[in-house]
Amino acid sequence: MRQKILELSLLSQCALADNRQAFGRLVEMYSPQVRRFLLNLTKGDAVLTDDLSQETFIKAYISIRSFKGLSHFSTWLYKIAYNEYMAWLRRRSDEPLDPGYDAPDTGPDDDDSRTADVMEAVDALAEPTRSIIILFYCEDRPIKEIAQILGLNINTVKVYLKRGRDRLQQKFSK
Amino acid sequence: MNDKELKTLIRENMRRDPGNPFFTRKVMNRLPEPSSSPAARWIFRATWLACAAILAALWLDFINNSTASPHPILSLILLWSATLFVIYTSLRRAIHNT
Repeated sequence: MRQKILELSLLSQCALADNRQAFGRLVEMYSPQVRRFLLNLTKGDAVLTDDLSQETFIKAYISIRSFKGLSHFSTWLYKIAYNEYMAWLRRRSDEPLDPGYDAPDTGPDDDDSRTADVMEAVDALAEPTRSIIILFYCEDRPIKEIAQILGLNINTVKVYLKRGRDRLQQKFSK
Repeated sequence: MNDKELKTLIRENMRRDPGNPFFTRKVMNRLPEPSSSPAARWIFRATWLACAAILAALWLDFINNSTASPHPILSLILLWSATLFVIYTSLRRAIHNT
């Protein structure tokens, strides 16, 4: 509750008085979440995560007056971060493929290698299943918020989530 | 494997951001300059046009009645200062907008 009041106060200071210091505090509050989300989306690329996170917060600052408060501020930030990542993916698809971003090979499964392969198995999923799995399991976001972040219907999110979950359960149940 | 086990497995193995102590500063340094509201821009334009019109009228008055002015050199210095200031602000805005 206290966190929510502080967030509202900082948001109003940013939107009404263009208070940069207040925005700096919002960056400090939400950057760990946004950076973790982008780090998992970019398959662990720290430099790219840093760039996309910066772009996310700059876009948020520019359009903070358009934030109506209909969703959580964090949901709005995740949406901007996701859009930034998708824009980067589209830009990358115009360039020659970087071998570092190819879907990783999946080796034989045994109990010791199982945990090491978890994120590789998540990374091998196609979009938007991968993003949904990351948001649902890593970021602990409810389905309704995931639908808002990805701009999809709730039922569509449920279908993709089930598909991703089945694939992962199948892989790790062996 | 049930959903809870899968969640635990993913959460235990997800990538964790080591953090960047300079991240907030980097973002703050890249924030764009605050832009004035449309109303403020219109007020600025209207004031600027009014000042330019008054300045032009003063120049006309000075040219026509320079001999009658009690302090012609002082008037000339003031007019040139105001004119150069208006030219400077216009050029600065034009350069900033490009």
